[in-house]
Amino acid sequence: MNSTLLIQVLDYGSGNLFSISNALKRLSNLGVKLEVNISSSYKEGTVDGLILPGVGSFPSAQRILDENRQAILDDIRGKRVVVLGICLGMQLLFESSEEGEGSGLGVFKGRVVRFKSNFPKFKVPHMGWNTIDIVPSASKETSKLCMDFSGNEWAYFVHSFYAVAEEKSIVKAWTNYCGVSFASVVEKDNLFGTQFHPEKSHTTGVKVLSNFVKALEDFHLA
Amino acid sequence: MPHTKRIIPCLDVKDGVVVKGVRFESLKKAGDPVKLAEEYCNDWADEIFFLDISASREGRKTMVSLAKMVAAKLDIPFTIGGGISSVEDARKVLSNGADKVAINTSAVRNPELVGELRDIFGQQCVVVSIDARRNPKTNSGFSVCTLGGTFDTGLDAVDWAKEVERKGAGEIVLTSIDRDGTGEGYDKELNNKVGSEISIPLIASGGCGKMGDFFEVFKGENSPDAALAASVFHYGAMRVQEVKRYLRSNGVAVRL
Repeated sequence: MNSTLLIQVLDYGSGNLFSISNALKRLSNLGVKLEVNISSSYKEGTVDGLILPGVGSFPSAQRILDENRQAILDDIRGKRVVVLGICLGMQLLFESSEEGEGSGLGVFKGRVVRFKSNFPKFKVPHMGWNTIDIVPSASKETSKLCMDFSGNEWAYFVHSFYAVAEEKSIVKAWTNYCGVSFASVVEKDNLFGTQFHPEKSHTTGVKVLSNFVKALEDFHLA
Repeated sequence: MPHTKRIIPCLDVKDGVVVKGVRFESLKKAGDPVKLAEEYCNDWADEIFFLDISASREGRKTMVSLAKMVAAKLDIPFTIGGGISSVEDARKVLSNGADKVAINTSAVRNPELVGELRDIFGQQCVVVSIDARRNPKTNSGFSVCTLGGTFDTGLDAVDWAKEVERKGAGEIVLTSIDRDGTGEGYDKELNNKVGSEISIPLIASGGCGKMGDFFEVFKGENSPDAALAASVFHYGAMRVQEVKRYLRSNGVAVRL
């Protein structure tokens, strides 16, 4: 049994990836050792976990996504890798986006849309701390990322777009911004996504990332 | 839910040490920036603001190494300001882990910088700091100062706030130079005047001396979205968590 888990952060070439790799390195009290690398090239079967980070825009991530699309999809379908998409990274798990040209991985059915609201002083981007409401059916058994949540979780968001999932059962938590309810946690099998930034969400983020590592462990080492 | 009001401890850093000045003069030492930031983070601070106060005055370059050290430890958003005068300066700080950059003097000197930063890094990364003081010669009664509050540009503070919003600022930090370091409370008139004219988030700064000052500044429809404070936290007069409990018990929505 291999007791080191390899995690790759996919670099789309447009922003700071220190925050997420630092956050993974800060995790302690894990039963396993983590090795984190940042790279723009994904090679089939080489890592246990893949993080699609939350930097850049849907169109700006296309080039790198296209170069690696087939390898990533093959590993997802072959259950060789566990994926966590953060913010834009979560949106890239869906099919398409109002933000611009290109296509996501399409492993979740649905489209990414822009915030609209009649709320007075409605501001886009949705930037700042907001609460996460776990869906009632997403108990410990069904949501791995939201495991051990107390019900008073705050997370840090920075986004102008959100994903509308066709398959509602993948949505494990919702967040409400000025009357607009959107999916803030999605998961299914070896696919996970958070619309917020766990690496900037203090204790909630630590929980989510630790839960992701546990999920990785269960998947690969069990 | 709509946004909660944010509490942002500000660390004025000079030569790697946190200091806090009374009206920007007579600087007193207060501590290690990374350690202080971690303490605030664990005490429910919503964000941390680092300002290199020596940077503009002495032309020193930005705090790239500080960004890196902070990013390794902190898991809440942080902003770095002071001496950032170009896209390259901003890139260094952001690529080393800062979430936002704040520009002040350099925005007045070169207003196009605001738009350039917005186009390259996104509006959410661009904070414009405005140091304002009472000046009856301007329409609003407040003028913009630069170079650490030492030079009065004569620009109207409200007009300038509207202009930087148009140019692409994501947020404005509005510091009252008259109140800074005095503990007499935020300049409510200044904050309301600017707050009623812009639609991007406004962060009040300068003058906080007691818990009631946070409540006062958050009253009213055009009140700021966040309040920044330094000395009240650094010298242990109050804890961030205490302030937030107090605000919540007085009906102000906060993250807690």
